[in-house]
Amino acid sequence: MKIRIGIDTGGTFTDVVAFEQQHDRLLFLKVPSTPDDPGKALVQGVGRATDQVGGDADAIHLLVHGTTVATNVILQRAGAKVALITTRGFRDVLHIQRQSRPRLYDMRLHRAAPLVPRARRFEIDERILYDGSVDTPLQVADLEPLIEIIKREQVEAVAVAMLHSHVNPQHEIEAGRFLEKHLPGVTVCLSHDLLREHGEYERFSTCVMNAYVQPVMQRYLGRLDEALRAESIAAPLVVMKSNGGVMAAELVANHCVQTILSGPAGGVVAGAAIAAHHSNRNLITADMGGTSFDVAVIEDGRVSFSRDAEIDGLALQTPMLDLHTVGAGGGSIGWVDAGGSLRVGPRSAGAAPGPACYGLGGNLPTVTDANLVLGRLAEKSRLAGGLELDVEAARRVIHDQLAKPLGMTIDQVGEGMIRVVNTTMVAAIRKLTVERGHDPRMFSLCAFGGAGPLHGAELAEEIGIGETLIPMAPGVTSALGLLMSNLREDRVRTFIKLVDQVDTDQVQAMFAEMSGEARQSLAFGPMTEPVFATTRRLGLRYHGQGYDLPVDVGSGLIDLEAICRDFHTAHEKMYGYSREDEPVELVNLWVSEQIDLQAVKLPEAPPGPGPGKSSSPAASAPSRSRQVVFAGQRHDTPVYDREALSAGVEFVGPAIVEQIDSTTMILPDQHARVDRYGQIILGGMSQRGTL
Amino acid sequence: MIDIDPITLEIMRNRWRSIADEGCAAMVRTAYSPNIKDRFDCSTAVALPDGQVLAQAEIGTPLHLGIMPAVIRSILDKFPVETIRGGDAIITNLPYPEGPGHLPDISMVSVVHHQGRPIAVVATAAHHVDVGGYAPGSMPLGVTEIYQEGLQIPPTRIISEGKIDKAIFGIIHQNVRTGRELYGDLMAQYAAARTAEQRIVELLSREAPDLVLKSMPAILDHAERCMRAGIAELPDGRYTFEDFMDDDGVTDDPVRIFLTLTIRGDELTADFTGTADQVLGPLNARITAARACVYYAAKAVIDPDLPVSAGAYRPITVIAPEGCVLHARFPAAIGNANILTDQRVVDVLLGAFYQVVPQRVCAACSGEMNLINVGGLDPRTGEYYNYVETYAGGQGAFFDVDGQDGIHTHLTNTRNTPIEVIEQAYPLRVNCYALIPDSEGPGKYRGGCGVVRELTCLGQRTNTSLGADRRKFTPWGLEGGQHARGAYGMVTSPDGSVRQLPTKVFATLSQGDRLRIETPGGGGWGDPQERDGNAIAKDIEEGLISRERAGSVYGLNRE
Repeated sequence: MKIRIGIDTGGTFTDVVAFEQQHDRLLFLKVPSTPDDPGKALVQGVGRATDQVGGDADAIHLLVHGTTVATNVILQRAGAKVALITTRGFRDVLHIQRQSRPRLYDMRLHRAAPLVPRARRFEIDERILYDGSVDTPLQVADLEPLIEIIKREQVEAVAVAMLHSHVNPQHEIEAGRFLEKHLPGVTVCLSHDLLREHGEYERFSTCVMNAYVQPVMQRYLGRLDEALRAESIAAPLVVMKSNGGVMAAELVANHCVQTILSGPAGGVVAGAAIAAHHSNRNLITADMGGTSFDVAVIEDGRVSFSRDAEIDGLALQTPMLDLHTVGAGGGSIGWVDAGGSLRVGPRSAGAAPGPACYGLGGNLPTVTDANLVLGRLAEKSRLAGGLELDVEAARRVIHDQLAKPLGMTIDQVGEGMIRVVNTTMVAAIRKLTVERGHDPRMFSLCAFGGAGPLHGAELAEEIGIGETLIPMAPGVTSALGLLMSNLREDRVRTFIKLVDQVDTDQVQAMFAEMSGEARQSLAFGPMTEPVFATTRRLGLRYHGQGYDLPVDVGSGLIDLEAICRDFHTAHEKMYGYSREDEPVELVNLWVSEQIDLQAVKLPEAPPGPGPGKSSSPAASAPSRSRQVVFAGQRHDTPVYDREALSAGVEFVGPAIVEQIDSTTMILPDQHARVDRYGQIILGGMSQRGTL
Repeated sequence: MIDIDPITLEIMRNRWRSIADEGCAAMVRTAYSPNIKDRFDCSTAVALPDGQVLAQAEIGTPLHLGIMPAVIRSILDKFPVETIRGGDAIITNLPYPEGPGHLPDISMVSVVHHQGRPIAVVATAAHHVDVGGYAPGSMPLGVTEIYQEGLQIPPTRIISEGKIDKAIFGIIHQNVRTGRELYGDLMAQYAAARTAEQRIVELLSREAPDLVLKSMPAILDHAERCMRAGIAELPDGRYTFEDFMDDDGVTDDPVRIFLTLTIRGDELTADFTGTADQVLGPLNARITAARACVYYAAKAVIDPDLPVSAGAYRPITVIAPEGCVLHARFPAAIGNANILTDQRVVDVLLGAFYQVVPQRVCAACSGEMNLINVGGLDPRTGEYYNYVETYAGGQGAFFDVDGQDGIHTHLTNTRNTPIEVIEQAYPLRVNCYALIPDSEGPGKYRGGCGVVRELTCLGQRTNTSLGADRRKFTPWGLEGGQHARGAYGMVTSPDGSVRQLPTKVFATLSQGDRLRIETPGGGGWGDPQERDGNAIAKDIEEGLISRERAGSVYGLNRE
């Protein structure tokens, strides 16, 4: 028996997905998270999953982990004691950031403070120029006095970040060697090693963030390793990175900042797998939980990348999935503004005290309360945590705080809250689609997370998307995604030159060097003869512009003329015009190396009870019905159990589909069918106004 | 009141705003000059056909908000709205009688039609690198009339149904230093217009057009209700405040800004009567900009989340007598009012608001934007280059928290240009970019520190305009908080000789000259002797306050 296990650590639950290869079996389970030591829940979940599959520790051959440890270290400012060594004259680059404030009109909102205080930001004499030439050589002896200070201050990690090191890293390398030699046990991070792109604030910030996260993450991974050994689990552990690929735990430990999006990345990878098996390979993933809504775009089966991200007010530039997060979820709170308008969010009741209907002390009207009073969520239904929903509490807070002051009915306000929170989510989707030049109507919407399937149909309608897809197990889609990912490392390098002055041999050589580095970092115990899949891209722009567009480069020799043609086409598509008379400029090189892990394929049959192979009429008969509000009307609405819906079943809304980890809502007259992967496909509705 | 339910209203408001946002994003992503692509000195607004702004993009500068309605009106006076076809674009940068605060801000207007009827106007404003005139960047110091500041473009149809008018553009191109950038940036403004237009057309095809049209005035009314509710919460009364600018760069006379702020019920009047007469140097503001300052301060003080639209400003009256420095007569020079005068007007407004709601304002910020505008021939390419940037200073302190160090405040929020970009793109070397210790305004809560940047000029001749202020009249504190250090500039020649520069100067620097710019800090709040000992210890440890100053000003080791 061979078992592969994915473990996704969340705030409330740790989701576990186990795949048993021989019988092609998938098993899902949730164990309560243990925030003080997230590894405890992980080991426990792995144990239970193994038992339930009927195997033992030896049967496990791979563990894939999605973790929020790095993210939480940043959000809680709970990282290591860091020192920065930088070029003389520039220690305040981290403090000044980009000199702008977070919000234009909010004087009192302060910029995030640097992760390393000014007193531990040290300057040394050295200078490299923009072309890589050395203006002032580094004297490593100048570092000697710093060694004493760093030891005395018990610094755990040193970030070395110097100007123009992305062009010539020599000084950083020399300083790094010296520091490692004289500071045993101290983590040393070099900015060029994490990012080979221009923009000193972003590179310095990325380097410092890595130094801040790394000791904590290394300790966590170390403890995890011990705990797994104690359970005699010898299977290798790989960790999900922000780029949607995984890397061996012992290697990721040297680039921990790459795991900042480890948590939500699994859902996007699952979305890509779903897109690959779907008739429409353009998919928007919409992961809606209690407090946040994560959107990502998958174009032609491929995930999109962002390179200009920020975590909690601090710049982080590393190849990351282009995830956009807004504060909208089941816990978002409704309120009436001074002008008498209904607003929802951005404040959230979170998981505790949570929505009023949780009965945990929450007394503000939330989106979950609205879903409950409208009948979209079942009264007295039990959540995965065993919580029972109190509809009277929900009605009370909505009436007292919103319906009465607005002079509207509870139903009107409930629907209003849903529509208002939906506009926030729609704006987030538009940001990633329309603002990036993608037409949302070319996409299907894949809605998951605990609350996603309740809102998916309306979000799609609002934004003009024709089809909504609800995965088989919406509440654990992120964990499933972990088992669908491959080993992956991305490298980006700035290289600015007008295309007609570019020496293709030089570009080829740089690509080769970048590939070599990336492959080395994917080296992985059990792989004796790894097979690499390589993707290469060039970032191009019209000379003068500030933003480049990526153009794919085949595996063979580089044909710059053809690449420029592709660029003009891409620009036309994105912005509505191209300028073929204008000089095109090369901005950066991008290499992605992947090793196929023979990842889990999208499962065909739903798991759990219910054979799900036939489509007999009985299988599609609703289990019960209840009153649900749609467009101001209460409709007698059939309620289906998800387990009973087998592939091929078709029905027409209004309808509600319930399962342990989520509830799906289907609009009146909306057509629904279950595909061979057990996914509910919503669509086929006549064009209607949405107001 | 227009009959539209509060939920539909909120949805439509978000939609109109996202249309403006999407337009602005297209402009930033396709623009050529760092001013727009890196520093976001641009705005996009959607307006009713009469010029009332319905929504403005989130990024962008508050100054443009007060300007948009006047620009749209001046264009529609010459080109009646029904004569502007789809795909047309009209541009102007004409400051007189009512228009932008300086010539580099070129506005572009296009009209969206529905069933043969004009239903919306899309307007963009962008700060272009150069529009000709006496000095690179078209914001020269030491000039006395607008003709020296660059090309004035009256409302002109530059694009006709998607085709650029090559003859007109040729004239513009010939008269500016960086024509290629100007063309790229105009196309970026056009990309914003087309993007917004397309979204509006989509909105009309998806929704009942009646509802969409009805929502437009309703959004203005809602914003008005929000603003009135906010003003009504403020205590009634008349409050006055004054501050001075050092000089106008031509004479040494200080320039007084005087304000009487009146709050009565749910209405607010900002009357600048008593402000100095217009000056010779280019510090003369437009009344449009004075309005923008008042709108900014009102929103920031009342509620930073107030919806932005023309409706919000109905309860606000702005008075600045013609002939004063905030409402100058043609052909007074104006180029530096945006970065100096207007920023100071906001300090004055907050000084008045301090008397109304002390806990919602900060002490004086750097009070100017520290403009540097450098140009010349790049010895590496032989081509003309132009580097424009405004440098951040310190923020004033609040009643309960320190001001921030080295941050842009009030009317500007443009990002800095990375050092690694400056050195690659221009013949300049950056020697340091740092906070200035002891530049804060001392207080129980201290103001933010100013910033120093030193550049070495690598070209043969480097033409440099510097626009700064607050050397004589430094940023003030509140409640016993003290003044911050002011603005300084100096040049060190390769032979080691040092010369101090005035705050407002046009100078030609030689190869190897080192130009050092130091920006002001922010004023303090409360008696520095009451500052928390741990906070002082931290400032000392961080090297932002010297031990001497901690002793002499903050009374460290006090009993």
